[in-house]
Amino acid sequence: MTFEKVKEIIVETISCDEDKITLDASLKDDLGIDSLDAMELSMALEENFSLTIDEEELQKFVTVRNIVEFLDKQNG
Amino acid sequence: MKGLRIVSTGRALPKTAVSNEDMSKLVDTNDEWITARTGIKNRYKCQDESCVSLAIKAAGIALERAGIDKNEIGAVITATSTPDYIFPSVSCMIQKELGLSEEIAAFDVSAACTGFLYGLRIAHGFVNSGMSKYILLVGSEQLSRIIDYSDRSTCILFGDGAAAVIVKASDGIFAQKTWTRGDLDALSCDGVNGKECFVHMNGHKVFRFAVTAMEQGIKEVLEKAGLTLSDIDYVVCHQANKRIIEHVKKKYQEHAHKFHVNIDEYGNTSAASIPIVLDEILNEKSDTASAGKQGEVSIAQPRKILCVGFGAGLTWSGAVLEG
Repeated sequence: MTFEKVKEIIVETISCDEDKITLDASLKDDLGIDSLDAMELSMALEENFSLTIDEEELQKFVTVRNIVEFLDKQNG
Repeated sequence: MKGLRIVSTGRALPKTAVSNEDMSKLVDTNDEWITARTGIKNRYKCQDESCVSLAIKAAGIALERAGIDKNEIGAVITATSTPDYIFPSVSCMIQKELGLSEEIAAFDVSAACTGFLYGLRIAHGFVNSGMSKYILLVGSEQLSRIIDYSDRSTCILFGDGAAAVIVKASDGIFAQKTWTRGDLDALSCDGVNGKECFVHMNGHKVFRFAVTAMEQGIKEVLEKAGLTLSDIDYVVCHQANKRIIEHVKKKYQEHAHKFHVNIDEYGNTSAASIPIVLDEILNEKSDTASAGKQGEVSIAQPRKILCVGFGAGLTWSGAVLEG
């Protein structure tokens, strides 16, 4: 559920290939997300999930799974 | 309240162009990295020129193109953070070199990259009150003075340049919103205290601030003007990073063609970036749209222009005027 939403937001924000977005995909190596993309992505996530992601938290996101788990924990 | 109209524009750039390849000889970087993250391919750097000499040149071009009696200029306002002298101001040197009346106010405005828009607000105050007929408003920067050329995260971003506009009151439109939020962490440069005088920037913090400020600037100035983007002919964004502009453009897909981007050529010229864009768009159009001489803004059909910018301070602003 969260994964599907995150996937949608990544496609919308970064315009990357939907098929590449798996739970274990590396944001940097597989999806080509650079530091500015990561900022845009975190702002889109904040808007969609009504929460704040601080800089420290953002640095911890390595894979798509990290994002999904963070969001689930926040909403859990 | 009266409207504000751009009568003429002019710009001046240093002769020396500095490519990304040139930058890669100074710091560990490359064209691909710079282009992907900033959209910048080139910038200009003063050698023989300076903030003052560029400002005088740009102002002289705008004055000539305006075809007005220079004694009707009621004030000179220069937006800059990199003046040649703490005093006299850049504006005073323009008054001297262009031989403007002594019976005017000439002063500089310091609001970093938002300086030109803050200056616009002041200029409108002067003409709206009837104090002055024309205002010469300049944005001029020699940012290479305050750049640490060993810091690869900032030195690639900035360029030197200047542009000037002459504005007058009109029956048309003027609306503006300005904001201030004092902050030393995101973007700062020390000065006048014996310490090194370099730009320090927290890129992530600035990016986040920038996109929010741009969106707020556009949205709220349109509300204030009672207009929508459909009524606007050009959106002129401060040219800090192509990625910031692209992010904002995404929200206004159907008006994307109204956003003029020239950061590839100039880099971030701070207070000069918005008037440089104004000079480009207004002169391109007047070549074909008006029978007037080159550089003279078409009298027949003024275009509605939305300017939006942000900078250190933090400062940000959105303005709608005609040109």
